[in-house]
Amino acid sequence: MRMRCTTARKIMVASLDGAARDDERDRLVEHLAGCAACRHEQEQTRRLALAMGGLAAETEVPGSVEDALMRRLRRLEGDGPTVAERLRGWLPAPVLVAAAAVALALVVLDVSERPGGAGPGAIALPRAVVPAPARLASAGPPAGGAMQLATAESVEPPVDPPADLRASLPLLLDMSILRNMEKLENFDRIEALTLADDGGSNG
Amino acid sequence: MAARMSSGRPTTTATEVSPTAARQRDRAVLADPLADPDVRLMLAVQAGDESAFRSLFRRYSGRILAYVGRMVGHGARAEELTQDVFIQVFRFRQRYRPESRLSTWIFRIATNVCLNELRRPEHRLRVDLWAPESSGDEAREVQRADPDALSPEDVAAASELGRALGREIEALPPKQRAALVLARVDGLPYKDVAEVLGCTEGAVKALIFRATQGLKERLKDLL
Repeated sequence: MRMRCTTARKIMVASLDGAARDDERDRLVEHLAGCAACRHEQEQTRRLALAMGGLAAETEVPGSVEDALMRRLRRLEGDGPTVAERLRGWLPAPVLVAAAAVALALVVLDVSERPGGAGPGAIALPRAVVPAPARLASAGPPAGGAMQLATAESVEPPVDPPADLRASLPLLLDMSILRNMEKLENFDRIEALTLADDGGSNG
Repeated sequence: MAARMSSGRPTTTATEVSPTAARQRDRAVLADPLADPDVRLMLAVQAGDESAFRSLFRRYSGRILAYVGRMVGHGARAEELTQDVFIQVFRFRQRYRPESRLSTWIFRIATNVCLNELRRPEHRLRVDLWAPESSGDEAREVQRADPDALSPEDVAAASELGRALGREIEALPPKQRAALVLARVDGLPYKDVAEVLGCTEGAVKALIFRATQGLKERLKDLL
């Protein structure tokens, strides 16, 4: 049976890339012998393949591409300066120490004023000092297999801070920033005034 | 300073696209992966050797930049995407297995990077803006396939054909373009093209046939 022209043209393309089977090539040769249109088609296909083979498989790469790539890789791998290192470059060390001390003081003050952990500043400290048996007793069985954490509302706050925290307090109070207690005690009031100035969007 | 990145492989010509040679190379790689210098290089990269990674970049960046340029258009964006390809090579270096050819693995990453870029809506705008300049780049890239076999008239015609060909290849649908360039310009056998594109060899045949017919139709006055 004579091969159809459409099939012959598919095989001639694959044949140029060495992807045609031997029996397909034989049938193509047979078809081409009796089909002038496909012979013309094959010549065009061959010219096109020749022109494509003449296109450069490589392009010159500027040296800046490799440099930029290595910079990006170092950033990805964390070899470059970290945020803290860059911050240290911008700010003098005393400023950073003072900022850290203020942050620490605010946390300590917030914890001491709100032991029940009612506000967002209560962080994890009151929960961490709850004795383990109390936590277990109040937690109850987990619902639906999901892990259930003990909440601050379900347990009584401790009467005294643990020994390690008690020992560290004098050290904290020795810090110079804590000597100005008057400002720190008024912090909540300052915060309230600031919120009111914003237009009282919360009520 | 522009550094010539050699792939250790001469520029492909029609006569060098030899599937037989590619199959022999495949068999050699499969028989003993460590005999392949590319595999040894990649194993060093996996072990954290930065100089091996630089060598890998110098070996492949010229081919990848040319391929990415044909896929998304030449220019600064092609250079950025070439960097992206090598960043992916580095990030996923532990996923490479010596059983497959390194070039296939890298071209697969490059193809995914290019297809993702082509899906971005910003890409079309960029291509439109830069279209007039891309033909010039192509004209510089076109080389003679077999100078002894053609007359001066043929050379002029081939040069004109080469310029037009560069433009028309960029106008093909992305997968047809990728299959055609990988097979005809980079000389990958259909089996490797199929691996790069994540399809069957039959699908590759169909893609290349459609691309060839489309190009012949558009370039019929020059062929």
